[in-house]
Amino acid sequence: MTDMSRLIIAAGVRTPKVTFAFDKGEFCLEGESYPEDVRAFYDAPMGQFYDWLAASSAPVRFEFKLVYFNSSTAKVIMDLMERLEEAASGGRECVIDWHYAEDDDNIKELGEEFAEDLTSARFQLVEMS
Amino acid sequence: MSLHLTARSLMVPTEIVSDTDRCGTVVPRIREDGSLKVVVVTGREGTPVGILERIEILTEMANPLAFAVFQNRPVSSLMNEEFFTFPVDGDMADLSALINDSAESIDTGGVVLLEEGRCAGVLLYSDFLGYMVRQDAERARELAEAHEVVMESVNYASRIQQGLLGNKDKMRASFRDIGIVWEPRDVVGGDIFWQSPKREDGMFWVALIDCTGHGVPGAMVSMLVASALNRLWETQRDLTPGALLGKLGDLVRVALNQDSEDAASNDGFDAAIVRVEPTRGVVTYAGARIGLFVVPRDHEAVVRLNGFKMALGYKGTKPHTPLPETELQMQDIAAVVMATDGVFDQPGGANGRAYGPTRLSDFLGAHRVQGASEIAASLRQELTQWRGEQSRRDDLSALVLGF
Repeated sequence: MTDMSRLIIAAGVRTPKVTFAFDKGEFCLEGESYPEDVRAFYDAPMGQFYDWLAASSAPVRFEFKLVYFNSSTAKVIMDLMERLEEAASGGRECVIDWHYAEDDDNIKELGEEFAEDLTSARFQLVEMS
Repeated sequence: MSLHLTARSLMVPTEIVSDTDRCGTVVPRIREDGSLKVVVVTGREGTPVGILERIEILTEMANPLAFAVFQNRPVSSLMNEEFFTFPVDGDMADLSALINDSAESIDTGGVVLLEEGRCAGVLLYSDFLGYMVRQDAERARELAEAHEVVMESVNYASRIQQGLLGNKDKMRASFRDIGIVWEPRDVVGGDIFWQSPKREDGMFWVALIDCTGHGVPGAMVSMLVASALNRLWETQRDLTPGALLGKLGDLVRVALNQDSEDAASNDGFDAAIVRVEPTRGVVTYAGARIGLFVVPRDHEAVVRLNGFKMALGYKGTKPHTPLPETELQMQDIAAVVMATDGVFDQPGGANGRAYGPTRLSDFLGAHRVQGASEIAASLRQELTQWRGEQSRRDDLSALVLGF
């Protein structure tokens, strides 16, 4: 039995833990992301997410709990932000939680850079101690 | 060369008995002949229906009472009906897969080998284990060989890549002092530093570029970027750094056919470039995702200039616009430092945090009295120490230019 309302991919050495709860509208990428072939990892889960985003009108909460990601992952995140912004500009509730450790100004800054392009989606920096 | 063996190569002859034979005649034969590890029991049509494993039979029949009970019964009452059969000319690799996928214990016994439906012999699990050990060693040797071939090729590629990097001696002669950290993660990589020749008035460009990816794909993009830089220097050396980076982005994008919507690839680069004009005493910086850390000559704090936030060359249909520039007076600067994201993003320290820009800024402040080459050497140490037991995540480069 596959549960279509959830997508969970365990973290690998170079890939993050993916937790997509479509039934709750809650999504999370956690850990590190530097796969050699970024499309091989992300195409499937992101495809599912975008399908859900198009088919549903429910509020979205996307959490990032990343401690390291490479530049090709940054492209994936940037595309994702654009899609969330697009959904939010149509009146949908979209919240992006960007988690960073208190002594990790690098991840914090990377989040702030993504946030610069967001006007409708709500971007929140969340400090973890 | 891999071992392509058939099961026949490991086959041993076996004793074949009928399922109606009595235990009283078969068991003593097994007792007497130590080579009979597995005896095959066949049915009326001559097809195998079970096996007798020497160790099991000897154990069960060790008790004289048990033997007395069984001796007049047919061997089918003692045989093991669960056993593997396999074509005698089948590939050992397939047999390995079959055995590995099953939960079958391979401590004792063996596989019955069939030829045209009849038992041709057996393959003992003890021989199978020996085969597995040999095959494992063979695979390890093959893998080591393949690795050696790849590494030789990549090491050679590294010599080619180092050929397109800036010439360190010429660079050193252009500044009071320079320091270079260039550490591709996988021998070759996407990071390159480059310096142009000098114009008649002494003006020249220095660039640090971080191409998408690392390893061989990164190195391939870096070749393209370096050749585009050379071409721009040959044809448009009056460009200011911001315009130059825009043009460089366009050249790379077109070269990779990424100037159309349906482009298959989407690669590009981060860059920082400084134009040094000794006659004007001015250094002009422009950057895309690579900032510039300025160490002032006086005792003021290290200044961080952030480049433009978008990378260059990626898929797009509109040409890049010139990037913002910052002019610095040469007389005010002790050194400028540019570094790729491999420096900032590397997790390490006590809690696996990224090194980050603040730590680099503090480091440069603390080491400002050192010359550029010493700063680079200390930075290399600092980063190695920060990384600690963590694996290196990316190519890592830094240029320290002393004025």
